[in-house]
Amino acid sequence: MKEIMFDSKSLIRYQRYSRNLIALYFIGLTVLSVCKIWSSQAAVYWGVVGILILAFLRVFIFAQEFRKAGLYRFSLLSYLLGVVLLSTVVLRFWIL
Amino acid sequence: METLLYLTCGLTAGLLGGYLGLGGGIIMVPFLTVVAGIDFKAAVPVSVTAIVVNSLSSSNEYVKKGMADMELAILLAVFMVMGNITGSNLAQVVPADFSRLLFTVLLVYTAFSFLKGRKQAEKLSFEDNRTRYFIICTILAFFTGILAGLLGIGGGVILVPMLYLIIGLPLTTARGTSALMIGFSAAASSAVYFLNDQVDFQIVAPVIAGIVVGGKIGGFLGTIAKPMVVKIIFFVVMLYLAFRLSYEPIMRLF
Repeated sequence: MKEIMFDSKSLIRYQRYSRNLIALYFIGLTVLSVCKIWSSQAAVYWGVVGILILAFLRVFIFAQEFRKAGLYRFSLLSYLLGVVLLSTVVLRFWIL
Repeated sequence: METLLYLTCGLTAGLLGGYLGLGGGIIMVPFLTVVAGIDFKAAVPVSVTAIVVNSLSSSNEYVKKGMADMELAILLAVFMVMGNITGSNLAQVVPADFSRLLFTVLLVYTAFSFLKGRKQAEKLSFEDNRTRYFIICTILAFFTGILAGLLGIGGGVILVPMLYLIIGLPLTTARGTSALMIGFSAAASSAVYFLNDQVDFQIVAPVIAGIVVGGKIGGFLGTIAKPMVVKIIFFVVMLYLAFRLSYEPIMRLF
């Protein structure tokens, strides 16, 4: 029987696109700021929000790939990691 | 002018981090504190946010070459993220001087461990070790997370030796697994600091821009530069930063 392994292609593609997107955004902001063309704290704020969302979404790629590979316990563990990460937001806004 | 200084900080962290396989926090925090003159507590949130980006970039190379243990990464990441959230919240109450002294100890340890190098991989009993030392590793991952969240580092300097020496992963796999995990744990820390309005947006943009570019160049230089030369430079710089970082808190103690 053929063993199904964790397929990392989608993870690699996702990480590459995320990195390129973040790099373009922040290099652009820095160049505009250094050249004194445009500077905005709000743009950086939303950039950081974007980084956190992109980092969080990675959990679902792990979960999906583990599920495809038949590693259901690790798929559940990935979702648990997502819940733990989300707890930072939940704790800040609804509990503390 | 200040923007260029922050950009240089990101570039240096990316260059050295990319070359030595570090997240960059161990370079960024002392650089921002000592060279740029930023308060330690303001440097930490900037550092963890930049580490998230650096992890996306550096872990990709390891994953591509099959040098990251996905199962172990996700397993230990859960515990490390819990530690990170604890550490980042602890940072709100722990005095900056204490964190600076703790960071100094970590800098000296890192400088010496990189200069000395690590012994070559022996015969590995990976599967046995993974089961046997699982509990120890989850506890260590949790405490590494606390330290990382508190000091604004990724935790690679502790994770890599742990995965290599305790679990018995080959060194490259240990680095790859650590690079992958750091992305999750730094994101947790960064979220805590961000939600507490502690991320300085004026500093974070050039640092991220610098670390992305520096990381790329660092990865390339890693294939052509002489390791010993870089190690010696790294050693001297780290010891200097350790001295500068601990000087004021020590003077205040006496």
